[in-house]
Amino acid sequence: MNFVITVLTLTVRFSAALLIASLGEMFNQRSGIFNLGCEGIMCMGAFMGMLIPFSYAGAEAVPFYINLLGLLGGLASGIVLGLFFGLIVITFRAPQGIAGIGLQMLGVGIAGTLFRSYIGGTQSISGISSFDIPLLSQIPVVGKIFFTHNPIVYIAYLMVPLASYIIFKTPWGMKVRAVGTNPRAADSLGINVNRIRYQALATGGAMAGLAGAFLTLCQAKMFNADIISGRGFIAVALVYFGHWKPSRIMFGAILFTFAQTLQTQIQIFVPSFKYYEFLNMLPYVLVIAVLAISRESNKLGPSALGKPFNREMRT
Amino acid sequence: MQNEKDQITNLRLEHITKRFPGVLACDDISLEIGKSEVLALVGENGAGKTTLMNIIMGLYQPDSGSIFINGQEVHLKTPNDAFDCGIGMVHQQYMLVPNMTVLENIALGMKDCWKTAKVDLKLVRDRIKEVSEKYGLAVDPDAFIWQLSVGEQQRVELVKTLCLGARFLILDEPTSALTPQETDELIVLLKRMSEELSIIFISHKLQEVAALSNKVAILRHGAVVFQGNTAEHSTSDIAALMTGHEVKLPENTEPPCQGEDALVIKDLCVKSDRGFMALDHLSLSVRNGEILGIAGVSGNGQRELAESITGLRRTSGGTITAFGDEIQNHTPNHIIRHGIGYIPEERNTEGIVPSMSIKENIILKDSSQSRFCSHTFLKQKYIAQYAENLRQRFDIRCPGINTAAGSLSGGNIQKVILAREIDRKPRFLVCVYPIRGLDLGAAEFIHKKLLELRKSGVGVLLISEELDELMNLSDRIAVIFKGQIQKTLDRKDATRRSLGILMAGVKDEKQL
Ligand SMILES: Nc1ncnc2c1ncn2[C@@H]1O[C@H](COP(=O)(O)OP(=O)(O)OP(=O)(O)O)[C@@H](O)[C@H]1O
Ligand SMILES: [Mg+2]
Repeated sequence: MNFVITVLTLTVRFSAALLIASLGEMFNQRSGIFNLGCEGIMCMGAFMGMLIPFSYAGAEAVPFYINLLGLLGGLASGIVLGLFFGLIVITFRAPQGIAGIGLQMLGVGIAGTLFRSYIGGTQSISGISSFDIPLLSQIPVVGKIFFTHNPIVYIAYLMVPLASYIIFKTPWGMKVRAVGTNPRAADSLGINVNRIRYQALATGGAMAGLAGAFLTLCQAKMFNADIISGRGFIAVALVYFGHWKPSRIMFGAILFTFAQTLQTQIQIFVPSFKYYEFLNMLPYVLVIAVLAISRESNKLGPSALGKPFNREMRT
Repeated sequence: MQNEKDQITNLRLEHITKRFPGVLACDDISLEIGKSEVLALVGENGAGKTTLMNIIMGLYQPDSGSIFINGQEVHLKTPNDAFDCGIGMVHQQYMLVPNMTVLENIALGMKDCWKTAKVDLKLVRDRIKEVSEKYGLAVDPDAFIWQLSVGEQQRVELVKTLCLGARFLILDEPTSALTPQETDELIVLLKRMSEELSIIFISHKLQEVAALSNKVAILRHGAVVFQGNTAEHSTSDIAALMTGHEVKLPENTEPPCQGEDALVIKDLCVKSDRGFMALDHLSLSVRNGEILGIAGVSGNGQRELAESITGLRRTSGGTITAFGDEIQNHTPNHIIRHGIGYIPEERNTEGIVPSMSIKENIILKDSSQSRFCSHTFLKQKYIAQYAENLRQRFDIRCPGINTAAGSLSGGNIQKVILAREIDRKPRFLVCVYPIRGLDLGAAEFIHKKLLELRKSGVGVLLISEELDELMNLSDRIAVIFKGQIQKTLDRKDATRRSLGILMAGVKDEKQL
């Protein structure tokens, strides 16, 4: 029982970063741009999340607003990188896949270099800690699983309905969907395709940066250059997995994190288990398996994904 | 910028020139449209009609020339500028987002329904209702675009333009995918609307031009070669001016054909995309050297029939026999090798690969045949020669055979497909709406080619909604209705009236 509760609690906690990043990536993809550089943006965000509180007080406890500033710093660095990516793939129309890989290396590279020159080696920070919500956390089992987390975790889950509302109900969301599916049609109605795509990239970048800062400030409470360890790429995959719908993306994020947590906990609880590589592999196999068997028409997805827009070019 | 309420009493284009790489699409065009006028713009495929209209909409920037509205020069940099002046356009290639509803598609253009936190869909719904009622155009606001037939999409496109409050309408081939009845209704509607607004109307069907417009301008190779009042010229005059020679659509006058059966379909059952039975125990046969026309309102199983013959759709019962062999549920490749050619309805997605060159598209079906390929290498020189030859024979208007096929004008894309399919010398040809969007000269040419094929002993299944086309070419005409052949008529018995009645689902005229 304890094992189960631990796994579920950690699932809720650890899924937050993945969830925020993949919701952000959904905005990118809905507008027709897939940003493989998500990993790099997250890494940069994670570094900002370290840098700001650390330069204020090192490993000492810092006032809450400094940590908040760390999160905002991550978010801001994400916006900058998102817009930079836009410059490359929207304005210069570079192939998105290649540019995305470049952005990933750039983000990880810059963060790693700055980390070495400003901070030096592994240092920990106090970060933002989890707290128990009064009363609710007292509920047996459920209380522990759902109500003993960091405030950012709740914000991550609140983002799901919010993102859903924004993409399906607001004028901006409608325009994002239109430019990602038939940019020519959007253009013919006077919508500035490239501006909307820049805005979507800024949004997606902000969320990826925030997710990264969350990892350092709330989860690891330290930074190193491979802190993201593939979450950015998983986020891209989850968007496909979730067919560009926030609720299904959330489901994917939970499923993946659950498998991930389960396997690490098994390794902890059963240290004698020899084939741990097999366990490491498990979450990824699971995602691939679900992707393979979930057959659904792509009629509802952004069909102009990956294609730069040029008004005067046919095809 | 114009005041919202201002009527456009005069739109004048002066010396508009527009070049694309390798093509002069508009060559020093000057035109003028006055109050409540309907200007018909006609011309061959690739003459530059769509390009000129896109310039008026601010989608393309002219290389030189100017546009005046009510005597004032305007600079139309984006479609928004054109909307602000009150210009609206129904595009030849529908400008709709398939994964959104009709409502949302229209909301995309209606800036007054964009509230900060929410799209005011109620406002849009009311506007659609108002427009549908005023003009008698019914659309289902909650349907997704991908669920609609091509004809319905055309209607949505029209309603959209009207909802956005256009006071000057540009219609680029608005009738190409409508049924004859819908076309007639639209013409009546446009006539009524022309009392309060000016219209530019593009069409290849000269009866429509004659019925609707009061002025006509003919474009050829990007230049205006003729302008005049419609009433003073007969349609055949206009056709002659347009193509440079007198157009006479060829007719099949040969006696009924006695050849052997080429294609026999027995009790064919096929499901549609939406899951219902699109073909319900359909049977028909076509002989060698015979053209069998399939008449019917689109959506009665034509698409499924063509796709199941060509192996693109699984059948759920019955047999399709071609030259003695059953071919149902075989791979498209097998069926192509069996000698069956196909001219599909969706030319951009099924007929060509838009990003590949004309040359490559022409050899697409035979790239591994020894004609074009030796030891796994393509015979580039021979292929280029061959493609060049087809380009000239089929009069494909393009900068060269290495241009991407997708950059051609709609009619010229069709010619690429026809050139490939006809010159491959099929034993049997399935032909779906072959002249949709083609200019008269091209239609005449294609019809000649089809009759030549027939003469050389090839059987042709011709699916079309144009009764004239069917009656001109077919030896027999089968009328399809709800997935079944209603009745098959010999050419001599087929009249517009008898076909129309059968197409409406009435089997026996006495029932009327
Ligand atoms: N965006 C583009 N890029 C390159 N070439 C183009 C482009 N748009 C049009 N063209 C070329 O300009 C010429 C005019 O094309 P346009 O679409 O205006 O013809 P059209 O008169 O509308 O023909 P159709 O009747 O077939 O629709 C064609 O030769 C076409 O290949
Ligand atoms: Mg055109």
